[in-house]
Amino acid sequence: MFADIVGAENCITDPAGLRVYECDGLTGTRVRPAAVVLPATTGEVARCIVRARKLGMPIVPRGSGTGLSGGALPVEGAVVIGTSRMRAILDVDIANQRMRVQPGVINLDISKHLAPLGYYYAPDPSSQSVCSIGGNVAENSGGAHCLKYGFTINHVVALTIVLADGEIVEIGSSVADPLGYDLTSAVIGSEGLLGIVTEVVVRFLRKPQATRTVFATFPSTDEAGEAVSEIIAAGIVPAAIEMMDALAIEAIVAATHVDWPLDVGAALLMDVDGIAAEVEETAEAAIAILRRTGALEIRNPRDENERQLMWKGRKGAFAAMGRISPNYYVQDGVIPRSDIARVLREIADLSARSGFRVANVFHAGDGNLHPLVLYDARAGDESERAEHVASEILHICVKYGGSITGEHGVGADKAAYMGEMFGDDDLETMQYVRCAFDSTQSFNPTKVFPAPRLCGDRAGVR
Amino acid sequence: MHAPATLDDAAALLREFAASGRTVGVTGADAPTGPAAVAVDETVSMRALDAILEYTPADQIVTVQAGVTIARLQAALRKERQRLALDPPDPERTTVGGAVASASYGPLRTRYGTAKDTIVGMTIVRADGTVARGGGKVVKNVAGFDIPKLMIGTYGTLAMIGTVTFRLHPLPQAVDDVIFPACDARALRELCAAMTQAQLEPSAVYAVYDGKQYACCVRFEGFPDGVAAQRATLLGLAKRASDESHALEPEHEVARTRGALQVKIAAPASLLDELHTHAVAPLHRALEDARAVVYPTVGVAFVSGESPDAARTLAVLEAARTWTESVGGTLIASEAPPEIRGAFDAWGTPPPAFALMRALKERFDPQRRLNPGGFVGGL
Repeated sequence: MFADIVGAENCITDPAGLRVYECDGLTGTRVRPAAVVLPATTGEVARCIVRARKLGMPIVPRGSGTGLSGGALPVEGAVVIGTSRMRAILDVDIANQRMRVQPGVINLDISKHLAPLGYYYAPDPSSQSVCSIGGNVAENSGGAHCLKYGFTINHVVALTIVLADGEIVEIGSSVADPLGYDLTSAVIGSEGLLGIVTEVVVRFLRKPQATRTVFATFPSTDEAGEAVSEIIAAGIVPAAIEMMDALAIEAIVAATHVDWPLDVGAALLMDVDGIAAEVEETAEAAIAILRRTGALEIRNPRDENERQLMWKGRKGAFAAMGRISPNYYVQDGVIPRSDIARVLREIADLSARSGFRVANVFHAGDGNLHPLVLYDARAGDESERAEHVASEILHICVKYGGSITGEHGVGADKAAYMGEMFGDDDLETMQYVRCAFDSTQSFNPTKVFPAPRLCGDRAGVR
Repeated sequence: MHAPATLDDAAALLREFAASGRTVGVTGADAPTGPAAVAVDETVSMRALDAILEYTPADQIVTVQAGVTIARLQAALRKERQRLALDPPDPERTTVGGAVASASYGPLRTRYGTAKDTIVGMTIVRADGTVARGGGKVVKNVAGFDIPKLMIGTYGTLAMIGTVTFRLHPLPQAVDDVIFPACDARALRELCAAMTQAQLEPSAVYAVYDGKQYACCVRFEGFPDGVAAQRATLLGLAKRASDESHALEPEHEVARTRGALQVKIAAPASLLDELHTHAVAPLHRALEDARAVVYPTVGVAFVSGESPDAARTLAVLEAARTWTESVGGTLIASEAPPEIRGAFDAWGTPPPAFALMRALKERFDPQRRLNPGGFVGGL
């Protein structure tokens, strides 16, 4: 089908080979695609798209496949276009702090490439050592440090995208204030519904003078939440401030080499970075707040190794759940920061009522919760009931005026919840954008939108 | 001129105009000027839609109607020791809706970026009079397409901006300006490179040009120790700082707001010397009562003044645009006297993705009634 375009070795159609691509990080749902192609250039991507359209195949873009919302979940009869062979760094412009890369480049490799020069790329999803920049663009990925530095949308300035008719379009600009509508913002976070991104221009940053990391434990999430609120109220903008509850700490300690205490109710892991003198001043002020709000213990890492270990613990939290539960369901919801304590109590009530343990590890600074519902898939209907508990948590987030996803995306997993956050008119407006880019709706069908809608319907007189 | 008192009234007006096929322009506090001010059948003023709807200091989030002025919003936030990190010129008259529709910004862009970096939600009224919401009232949110960010800088050609939700920043405890009174473009560029090298984090860098040289203001904000340390480091890097605190703010404001001709040029920040030679200096020479200011870390210059000789001004504008576009930049005449306006496209060459922009316009405003022709390429 595509072998003449990408070479037989990069066109997968045998069942064993296809199995790898049946799902992404959302492993509970699997669909076998008709084919997987791994092009190496923008031109090959364009030819694959034209061919797929000719064959009437839906097109599902895929980066590293680490997404947690089923954004890269295939649909029946689809061709998956993967970017794993597109890993070239195309240009580095130090003077303007811009770097042009292919979409398969791994997030962390951008910072590694820049490290000797004293620069880095800010968005740092927990999966950053394996996730691709193209996937980050599709999902508008965040990470622990987006509290201070923002998301992918704040750090990507231009894209090359291939549209449904195979046309290759340059959008955005390395230069400030490109003319016309901000198509870059439309594409970032569009979850592969508008086209396939084949080049990404990122804005990178100078490393800060200093970074200080503080780890603190608390009797419960109430005190830890109070500490977060007071730190923010004091005008401090930490680079990151992460909370873990007792269950999350237990899993992290079991899975990694951190020596965190197990007899505590919650822990905070905070980074303050920037000008050295300011980091000292604000870290000390934050520590005073931690003490005042009831911290049991406050630790400063002795060296960079210990600091890295602490962050490794935090970033490995999801995987660590495997140590305390056969299965777990990762939820991603957002609430206003000031409601953290109330919402955590509601989640605890839900956990008690349903009988499912829920571990909480999350970005406390911006109210982005990641409740992990622990279950055993072998035990009767636990999978379904655990998923129900996870969906109840989303209802709570919406009730508090938050969001059904802060960084994992809507994908296939949450399309059904979009109607809880948005009305028909809101969704119709989003659909205008989709139809302007791809009126054939060939890209990633069944994702994001709760119900299919044709592109023929236009805004007009009602 | 219509001045609806509620968003529902505004929506009803747009439905009425849709039914009768009339074209619509939306304005903030004042009648619009500039290339986006095209002839329309109906004008809707947002001046009565000036409520601060919801402000939660603990969440650092505020939702306002589009007609609120930037100054009034900042005054309300200041009481809670917070601010919107967006400082477009003329804040007393500039409305939130106007600033967002024109993607306007000021020197704080150096550190805090543009409206895109502070907007988290928006309510719009579509061409058909439908009210639609995008984003939300939390900082982090990737549910659905980002309609709010798409609306920034669309000059009223896609929809009416009804309400805007912003993320806020704490008001800095300390602010300190370091002034370099006499630099050329090269010295400016080297100063910025040295600051990057030293890992300094100025919140604003702008330089006012007087026809001979630049006077540059580097602003540090934050906590007292950090601000003092940054000043000391900067003075160690560059010895030519002035001891007197010569306030450049008024000159910056004049350069950004006055003059029958106002031009904005964007070019790669690394080409500051060329930006000066090919655009700022010749435009400054061609104009009377000329003013110019550059944001050297961003790569943007603003030049304004009166045009005494249209033919000469046009020739200089054309040459400056040719250079700017050749390096991937843009030159916009945001204000121009009629004799220039008639002969010089305010926006310049449409970008490579123009067909997609037209497709968006077609979807959002199929009858082309929202500020038709008010944006690049006749969008």
